[in-house]
Amino acid sequence: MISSTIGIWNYWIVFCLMMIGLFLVIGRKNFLKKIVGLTIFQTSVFLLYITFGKIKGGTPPILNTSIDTIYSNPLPHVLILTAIVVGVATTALGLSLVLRINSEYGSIEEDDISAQDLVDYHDEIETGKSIDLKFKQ
Amino acid sequence: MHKNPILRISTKILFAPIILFGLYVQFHGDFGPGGGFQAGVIVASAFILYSIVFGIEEGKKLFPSNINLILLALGGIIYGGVGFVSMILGDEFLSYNILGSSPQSGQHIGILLVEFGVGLTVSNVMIALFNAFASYNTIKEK
Amino acid sequence: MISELLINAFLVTIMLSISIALIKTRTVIFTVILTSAYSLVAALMFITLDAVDVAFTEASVGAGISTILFLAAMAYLPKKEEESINSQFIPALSCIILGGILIWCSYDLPEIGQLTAPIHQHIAPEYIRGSKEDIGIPNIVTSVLASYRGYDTFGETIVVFTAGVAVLMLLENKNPVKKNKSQPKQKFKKNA
Repeated sequence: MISSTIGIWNYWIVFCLMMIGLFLVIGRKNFLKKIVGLTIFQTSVFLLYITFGKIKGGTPPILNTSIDTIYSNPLPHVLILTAIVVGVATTALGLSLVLRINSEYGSIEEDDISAQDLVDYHDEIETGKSIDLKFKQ
Repeated sequence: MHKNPILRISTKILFAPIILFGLYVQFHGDFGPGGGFQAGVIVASAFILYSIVFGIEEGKKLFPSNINLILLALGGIIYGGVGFVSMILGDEFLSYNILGSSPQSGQHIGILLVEFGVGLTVSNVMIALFNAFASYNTIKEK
Repeated sequence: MISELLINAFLVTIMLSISIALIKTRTVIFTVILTSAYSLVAALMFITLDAVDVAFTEASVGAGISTILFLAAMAYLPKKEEESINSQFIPALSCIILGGILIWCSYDLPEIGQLTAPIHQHIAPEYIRGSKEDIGIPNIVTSVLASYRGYDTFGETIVVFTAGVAVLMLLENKNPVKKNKSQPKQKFKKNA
């Protein structure tokens, strides 16, 4: 009983971590926090993959001389190894987008930015600048 | 630049061993844990440490950004080039068997070259990312 | 065998508490440092799960370079996170429901470490045998990465290259075209 609970305990916590990452992405309005949430989500997916590759009593997949060694599955390791490096490159891309948003709007809070956009939109309606032109043509 | 002499001298002492460790991880990746991705990041961390302690300008004097950009592209070109060489020699794209005298030695040569290309690209991308973030000049309006 | 799984469960619980602290904190520097600690514990997890190459990568990339990039970007950003106006009830509820469904489904997953699980039957034994006979390299991960799955790694290298070039193009613009923030208000006044 204990052994079987521990056997799927990893999955439960990994799903909890995933949901915490998802909550940081959809529940928080700060863009930096959203990117951190994506990182958390990403790492939990990595954990899920590596957990699938584990074999009880296995060794790391580096060949040794004895014949009857059980090696853990190397395929998830390869997939995750490249995904980590690609993940940090795309995180840097997201951070640079956040920096540009900050220099355009002066804020990285989603509420501020949508409020500024709303002000712009109402101004355009008041002055009849762009929207009227579109209707006339 | 940092005024603290302990930081400056220990950076100068640590710089070469970090790069040596990176090269070890790069070329020992066939036999133990390691490979191009990890080695690239370790070599990049040496240059980033130098830039943090001595300032971004000194870091750019040590490793000019135009060389950085050339090497950034060269890694991918080496990787693709190995594939095209094996195609020219009469095998499929990225099939290394034909590169050496026997299939096994061909695989060894191919994997070594490919990992080198990966390491070159990753290390230069990381250095370029750090330089871009550190020298980003925003005009603050506040 | 049970001690290995116990260490595993313990480390995963540490990760859970770190991520709960991440939800609570509103300071940016704490957020960055907690993310770094999270990556480091994840690297320890990977070692207990026999993935030494992945642990190496996670420790150097996730806990090292990623933290430095976050700190470098943090210098230009506000230091505090603002309290949100809207309630966070609906996002939290949907996350809890989705997590409950996933945990319910986890009873159908194979238990950790079973040799009979489907993932271990398909192609992995082929790679383990071939790495010794066809390629002659002891590290199976390297031989799969560079030789069997060479196309994948080529694509990933190109993705890293593209992301780096995109960041350079976004950030190296010396005089970004600025939308003047006070402009809309001036227009408003003129109209009135």
